[in-house]
Amino acid sequence: MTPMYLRRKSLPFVEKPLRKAKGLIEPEGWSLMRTGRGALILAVFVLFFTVGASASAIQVYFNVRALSSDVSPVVVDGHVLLPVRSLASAIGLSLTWEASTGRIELKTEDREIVMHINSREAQLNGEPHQLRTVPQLKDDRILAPLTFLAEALELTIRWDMETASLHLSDAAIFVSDVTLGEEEGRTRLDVQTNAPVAYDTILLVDPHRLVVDVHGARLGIPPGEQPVQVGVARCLRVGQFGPDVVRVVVELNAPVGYEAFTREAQPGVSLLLNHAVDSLSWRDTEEGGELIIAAPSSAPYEIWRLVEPERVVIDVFHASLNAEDRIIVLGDGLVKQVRASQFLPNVVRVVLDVNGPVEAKASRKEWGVSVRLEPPATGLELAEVEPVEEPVELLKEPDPDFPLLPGVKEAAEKTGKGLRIILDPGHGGLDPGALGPSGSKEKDVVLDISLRLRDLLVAVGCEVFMTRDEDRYVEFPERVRLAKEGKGDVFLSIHANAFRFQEACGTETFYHPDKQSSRLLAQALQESLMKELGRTDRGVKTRRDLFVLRESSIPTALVEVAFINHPDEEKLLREPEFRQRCAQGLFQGLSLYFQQRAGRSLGPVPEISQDAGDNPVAKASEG
Amino acid sequence: MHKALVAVICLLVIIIIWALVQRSGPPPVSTDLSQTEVLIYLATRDGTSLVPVKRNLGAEQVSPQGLIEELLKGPRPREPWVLPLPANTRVNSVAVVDQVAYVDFSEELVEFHSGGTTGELLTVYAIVNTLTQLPEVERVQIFVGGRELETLMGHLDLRIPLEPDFSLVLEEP
Repeated sequence: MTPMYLRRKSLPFVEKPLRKAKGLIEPEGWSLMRTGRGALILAVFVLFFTVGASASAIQVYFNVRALSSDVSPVVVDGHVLLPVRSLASAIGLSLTWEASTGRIELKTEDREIVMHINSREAQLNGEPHQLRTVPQLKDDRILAPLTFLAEALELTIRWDMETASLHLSDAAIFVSDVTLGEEEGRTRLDVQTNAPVAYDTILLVDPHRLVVDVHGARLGIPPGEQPVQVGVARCLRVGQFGPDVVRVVVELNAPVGYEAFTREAQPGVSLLLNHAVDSLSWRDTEEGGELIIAAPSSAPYEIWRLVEPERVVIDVFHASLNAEDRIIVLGDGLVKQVRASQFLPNVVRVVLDVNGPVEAKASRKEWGVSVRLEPPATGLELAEVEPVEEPVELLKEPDPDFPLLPGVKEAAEKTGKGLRIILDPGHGGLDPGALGPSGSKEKDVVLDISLRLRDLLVAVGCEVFMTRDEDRYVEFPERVRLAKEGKGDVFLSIHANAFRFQEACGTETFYHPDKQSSRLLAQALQESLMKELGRTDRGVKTRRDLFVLRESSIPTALVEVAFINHPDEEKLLREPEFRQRCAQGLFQGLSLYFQQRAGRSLGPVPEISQDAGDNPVAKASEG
Repeated sequence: MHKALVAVICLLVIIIIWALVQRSGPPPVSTDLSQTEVLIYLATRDGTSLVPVKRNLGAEQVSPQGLIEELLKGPRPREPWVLPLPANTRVNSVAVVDQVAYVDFSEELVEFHSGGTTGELLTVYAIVNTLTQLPEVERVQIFVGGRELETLMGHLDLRIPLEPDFSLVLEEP
């Protein structure tokens, strides 16, 4: 039973612009789909719909949004025409129609299209254009040629045969191709776009996946899934994640790091994945022994020595350590033990602790790297090598205890003295939480709000514990450990909300129905947040199935301050002032709760000078 | 002359009555008889509620798998509701053991999910409420890619099978 799609296990990755594009080999082999969909597909499509389904409406989408069936294309004499009036109202064009002259005028902010019924003459911003098909009047509907409309309005057209739908998009940026290939033995992912883009990469585990989000872009190729066998990649999926985010997912055979870079010649983003070092094993030979490092045969490596004490070191470059056994203890022979670690994000270091002078020889094999060790034939001359630092262990265990924050003693006379509050910023580390249309991550936003709230609470003398005070992943049991043991007066989980559709917005608070004091807490928080933020009131709701609510045995609430995938609310969440107001609203909510519950408020919101330097959102969005 | 007219009128009346009888006569063995009305749970666009939406399924489709497939088809054109699951999600399998439906989805359910407590709740209970209308299903556990999930998006505990939740459902859509 695998517990979770995310596990606390940090993986190395480097993300940097790599301007020195290495000759930019066009990746060979597998390509998901090409954008060149010619007239043939269109012809087939038209035929299909004229013959097969002339009566049933073809669903038209504009920027991923389904338009009403009035906008369904019409095939007249083999030409694809769109009902202009319905289209104009659906995508916000202004239409002027002169029935007497048959003149059709479509206007947007920056362009003017003029056509005439039964005439090939058309104008775009005053420039004459020859139409291949004439606009027509049929059953009181004005029909105009799709291709000209698309060209004039700069819309991209995509026919989806499978779902019998037509996709129009005015996206300035679209993903035109996604390919997987190999470069110098490393797996390479290319996401091509028509203009430079902002992107994010996320590594998920269980199964190992690499996620690339291209922001402000729409999918210009059909979404889909394709099993592949390219290096460490075994499956590629592409889809529209939100209205403005294209998500590419590469399923991996092993958790490997990668380098992400952009190229000037071809806009988009490319990722070069590391080689996976799958295992280490040792076998004794007649002369001595052999260390077997299983890795792709193309992985570059270097062998060298360290003295005092004597060691043999093999560095494998562009590699990620995927071996389960990272230490092989051998004892008294030639080699004491073998240790492997992720020395740098892209370097796997294998160290052999030897019991005396040895002769080491490395060679490239089909299955990786072989290192043969023998006792020196004659007196060995060891080259003087600068000792280097010991390898850094990659997996860092989080502190077993929550950090107790300073400031308690100084605030002895303040109103919050003796109150212990546990703040729980949602998500973190490998789990970004929900994402905003321009790339904000819930984990950064809620951490910032929590830190601001912490400062306010500490200033009035509260003791504050945080389930995390940095960007790291915290498992459920660890999050609620203190609250479960009853250590604390309030547990407050802070989140930002999301839904598939951008109509969702506002603030809501959840609590467990079996806990009376939690209801009081949730109501106080929601009320104060509404006063402070003034967003849509989605109310206070009871839930039995939310993990932190159920596990905690102290008064507990989970607040969703706003919807991070709502464009306006994301903009607000990116503003430090708004996040400060979130913290103040929560502070006032806690104050109200303590007043109702114990007859003591926390007093007014303290004035604190805000230090922007410790701001995870600012850091994340600058990066 | 009159007689001829009366005869013609009579003939017409007879023809009309005959036509009406033909039309209103016993209906042909309709496929409608084998259709069963079921509910799928979609969501309001603002993510405040789930909405039960009627669908007619053939007898062979009224199964756990058939219901989930119908749910994944989402709203019909002109229906104001939305599918609260990533649109590219597929269902791999559904197995019912001891009144518990174990439903396994493709990776897209997680990978293309918006996140958020609201997003997660609506996804999970659209599935659970849709399946538990079947008499043989009382609770539902969600799997992805054959794996048991601790949670879908970090809020809900999915390690135990869930019962339907009607507090999320809009009463009069």
